[in-house]
Amino acid sequence: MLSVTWLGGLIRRRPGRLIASALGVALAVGLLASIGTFLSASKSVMTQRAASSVAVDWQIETQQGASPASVLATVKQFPGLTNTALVGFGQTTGFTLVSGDTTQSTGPGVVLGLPASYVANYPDSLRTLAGAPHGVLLAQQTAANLRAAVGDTVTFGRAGLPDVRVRVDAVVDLPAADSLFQKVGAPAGAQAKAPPDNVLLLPDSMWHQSFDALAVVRPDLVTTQIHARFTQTLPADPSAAFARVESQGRNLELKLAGHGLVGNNLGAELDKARSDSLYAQILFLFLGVPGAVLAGLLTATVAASGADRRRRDQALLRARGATLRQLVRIGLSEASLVAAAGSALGIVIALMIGALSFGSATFGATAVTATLWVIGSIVLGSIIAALAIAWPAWRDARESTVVASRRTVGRATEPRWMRWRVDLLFIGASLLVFWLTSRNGFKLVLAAEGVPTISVNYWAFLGPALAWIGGGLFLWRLATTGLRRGRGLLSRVLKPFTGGLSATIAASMSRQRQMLARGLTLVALTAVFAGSTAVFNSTYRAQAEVDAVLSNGAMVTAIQSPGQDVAPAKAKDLARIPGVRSVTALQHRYAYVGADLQDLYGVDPATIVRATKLRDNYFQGGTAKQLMAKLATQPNAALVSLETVKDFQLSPGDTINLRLQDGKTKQFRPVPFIYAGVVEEFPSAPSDSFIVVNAAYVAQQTGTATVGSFLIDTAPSESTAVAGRVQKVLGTTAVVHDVASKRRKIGTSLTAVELGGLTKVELGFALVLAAAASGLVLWLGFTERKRTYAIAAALGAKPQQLAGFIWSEALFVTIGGLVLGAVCGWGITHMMVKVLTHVFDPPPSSLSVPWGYLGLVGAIVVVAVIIASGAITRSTRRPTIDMLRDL
Amino acid sequence: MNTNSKRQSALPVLTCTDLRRTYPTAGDPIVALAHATCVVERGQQIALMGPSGSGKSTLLHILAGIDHPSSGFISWPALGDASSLRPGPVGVVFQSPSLLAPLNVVENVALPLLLSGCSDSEATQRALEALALLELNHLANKLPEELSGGQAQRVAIARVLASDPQLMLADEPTGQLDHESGAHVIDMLIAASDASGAALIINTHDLCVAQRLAIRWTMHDGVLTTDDHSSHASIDHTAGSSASC
Repeated sequence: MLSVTWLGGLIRRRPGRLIASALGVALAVGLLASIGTFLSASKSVMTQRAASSVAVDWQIETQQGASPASVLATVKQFPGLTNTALVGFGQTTGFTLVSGDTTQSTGPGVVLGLPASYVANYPDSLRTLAGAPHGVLLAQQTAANLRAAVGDTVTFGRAGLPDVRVRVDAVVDLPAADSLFQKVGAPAGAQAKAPPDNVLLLPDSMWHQSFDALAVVRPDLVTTQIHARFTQTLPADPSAAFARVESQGRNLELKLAGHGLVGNNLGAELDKARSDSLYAQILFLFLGVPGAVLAGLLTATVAASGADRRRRDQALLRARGATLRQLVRIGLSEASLVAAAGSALGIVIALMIGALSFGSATFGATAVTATLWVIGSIVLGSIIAALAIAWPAWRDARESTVVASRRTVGRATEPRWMRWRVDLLFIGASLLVFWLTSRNGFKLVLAAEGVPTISVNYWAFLGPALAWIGGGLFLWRLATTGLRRGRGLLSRVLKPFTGGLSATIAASMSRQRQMLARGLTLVALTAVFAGSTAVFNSTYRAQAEVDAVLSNGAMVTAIQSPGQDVAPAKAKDLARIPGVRSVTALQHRYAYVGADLQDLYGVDPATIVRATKLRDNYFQGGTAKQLMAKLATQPNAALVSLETVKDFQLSPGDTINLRLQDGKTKQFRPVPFIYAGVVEEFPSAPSDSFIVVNAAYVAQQTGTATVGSFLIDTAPSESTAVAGRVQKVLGTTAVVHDVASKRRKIGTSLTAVELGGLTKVELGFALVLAAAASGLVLWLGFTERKRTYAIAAALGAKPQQLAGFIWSEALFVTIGGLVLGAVCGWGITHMMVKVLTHVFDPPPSSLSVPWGYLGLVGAIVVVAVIIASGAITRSTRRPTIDMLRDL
Repeated sequence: MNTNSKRQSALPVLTCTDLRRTYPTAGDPIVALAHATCVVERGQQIALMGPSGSGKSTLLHILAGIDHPSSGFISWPALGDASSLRPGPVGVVFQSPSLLAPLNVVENVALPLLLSGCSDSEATQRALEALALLELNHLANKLPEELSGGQAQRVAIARVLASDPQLMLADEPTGQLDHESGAHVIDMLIAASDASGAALIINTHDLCVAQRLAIRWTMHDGVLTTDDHSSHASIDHTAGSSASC
């Protein structure tokens, strides 16, 4: 009964504090429910994306002696498989193209036999570059090696049998070549088999005509695979989906009884996705947990701002005979009310965020998942309310005397953690853990390929977690120490604004240092949270952009079809296209380094730096600018991969003889280069070894300046439009990609959409937290000291003198909080980006700072403080008697 | 204590005529003060008596310039206009604890002086003098919450004295104190008034307190009566605190 009466009184007399406490709980509940549900939904999207990104889900390879028809029949009966297609793989001794007086030849290759429906059923397995995708299809690299074009006749050899001549109907790219030519049944962890350099694809009837005979005499050179699409509904979580697909694969192998092995491409892709899902989970922990903790701290601070009044109330109740149990019940009932109201509001906030920002109140997750997160969030909200309200009430009721309960300031002694330097110990430990976890070789997510179990090295969390705690406590120490020891300095700083009252205001602030330090620390931690989340997000986006540009080559890339003899001068035509900022012509050839065939890129050093983004961390031995300058001044300079440097024991200045194809004779002949540096990444280059050289030198040495592609720079918003215009100018002989389309295509499960969604929620909450941590907490602190202002007014203090007290505290908390928060945030962000470096591809060379958002956070804090301080200042302008009557 | 030239003025400290204070409500307005007419001369020591709710505090607040009458006229001929009363020639001792919690005793006492524009050093010096006068120097560095109720009220008196006021108003200053502490506080106020010649009005419903002052006014239902309770000769101002009651 007492509790009900007490709650009624609180609702009638002190609704502001109850509402503010409930708001703190609501923020924690809303944040957790939003990002938790979103995380679950993201995992589901990751699974879907992984499944849709696979060209062929399963490749079942028939084993020696097994009947392909029998294996096909077994596969067809296996539940959940569709679009089964029998694909033949025949080894050829090489390809030849006779053109006029010249004959082009290649090394060994593979000839595939595809059923007519294959392209329709597996559209992502090949991309047509020239011609129509029917009949005889020649792989792009083979076409380049042979200088073959659509309509040419190509001959391929068969071991011990006559050659076969076919007419090329189309030139195609094989985007999924790695998985298509995988070694099925290779042990886990085995080095991936490189796809063949030369590939021809035939209709299955033609293939059988060519290879059935070979299968009889050399069965080791002919294999058959059954390609299939997996149609079972996959679990939402990538790890569970991986486990399902893997076990299904093994089950099929069991049914095949040794007649076939399953190449589980879908499983492999889900294997990668489960790593990504763990990274998403890590990001949730790194970015979400600090926000929820901050919201909890906000609630505690709001509750603590009314602690003096509560202690006085408790003292009154105890003086009138209230028992400890009754006091605890009162505290619990207040906490329950705050938890219920805050949780309800938090859930509404989460539902609204989901509905307004993600088009679904459940963020795309299932109702069950969303409900579980809601329940978990409510539990968290209840814990926060209990810790912030009920626990202090219990502690005060149990430990304080009535006299002590009436105290409001007290001779502040250093808390134990300060005396024991816990903050410094935490920071030291954090740095130690960070050093250990950021050394080379450290992996945040341990996901051995093909191994069902996957784990996160949670040890890495300890560094940032200790930094957060130690940093927060250290900020508190700085604030209290500054106010205790820097009273004279503070007085001098305040003197120009508060005149003769400066020493008194400084003394007042010094004695209230615990309260002011609490406010400053909360503002600072909010700034750290907002800043680190925003910088991480911005850096991630910048790196995703770098990744997209790196993969695409430039904002727009036009790739010339093999056989098209396009001169570099064409770049001038492209430069005139509206929206084009810069163009460079890029040669793409192949060169033998010893016996190894590598991609070779001939660049125009003067224009490539303007047409695309060359980062310094792509190179070793100099910056991007320095190495391009070197290619310009030393035309025979060559940049090679680190692997090549190691394999051939190269030192700067060494001569490398590369074998390049001569433009006239079409024969490969040695061309001398000088090793000048290492290139690890290069626009449009593959992830394995390649060479970057001066295009003019290559043209001079080979007698041809034919361009492989044009790299075009545009404004980010115009890339798609410019790509369309470039396509019109170059016609159908070129394939034009823009970075926006590429970004969508290469978007792995972690990029753009998911992290964007996560941080969108985070950044929105950070703004609300910033406003609440500054304005709300300050306002509540001021209202708690209305008595002080009323007495000062009764003593004759003028409104501007009272404003001196109010604004001095407000500025200390705000400016101190923002400045210290910025410094602390800088350190924590660096640590977070370093620990999460594996999330980035490629790793960032520097942090990207979103000044606009940070400015917005600062502006919101300033506006909130101005509103809160202004409201209190206005209230002190009321007639003195009204202020006294409020007490 | 500094001697102010204004103190030598023959003008009354305050004069008011037909003061009335009402508070608007949704229904009929509440009449807190129905009628008050009075003159206070320099050095007068007045007990304002009456039951709770009779309007004593309202009148005291109006006399201090903290509140304004709804009608009637009030002026402080010897003190200046209403805007210059506090901090300055009018000092107020409140019934409830009125020290600022984050300031220590000497800072609390010095605050009105600082608010009136004194330099920090002068304000501190005068505050220490006021504390010394009331034998409170040993409390100078204490925080309000470290004081007993009686000590806090004596510090509040020191705060008034430090400003060297010409009119001291005390609103039930012993209301929350035990008898002995209360008597000590009244001793101090009377002694300060005697020493400085400042007019003193103490709002009380304690007859023992009232008997120690030369003039006694009464309030009933918001009406002030000032003419029938004076007994200058019967009170010995220097008598012991509790012995007179």
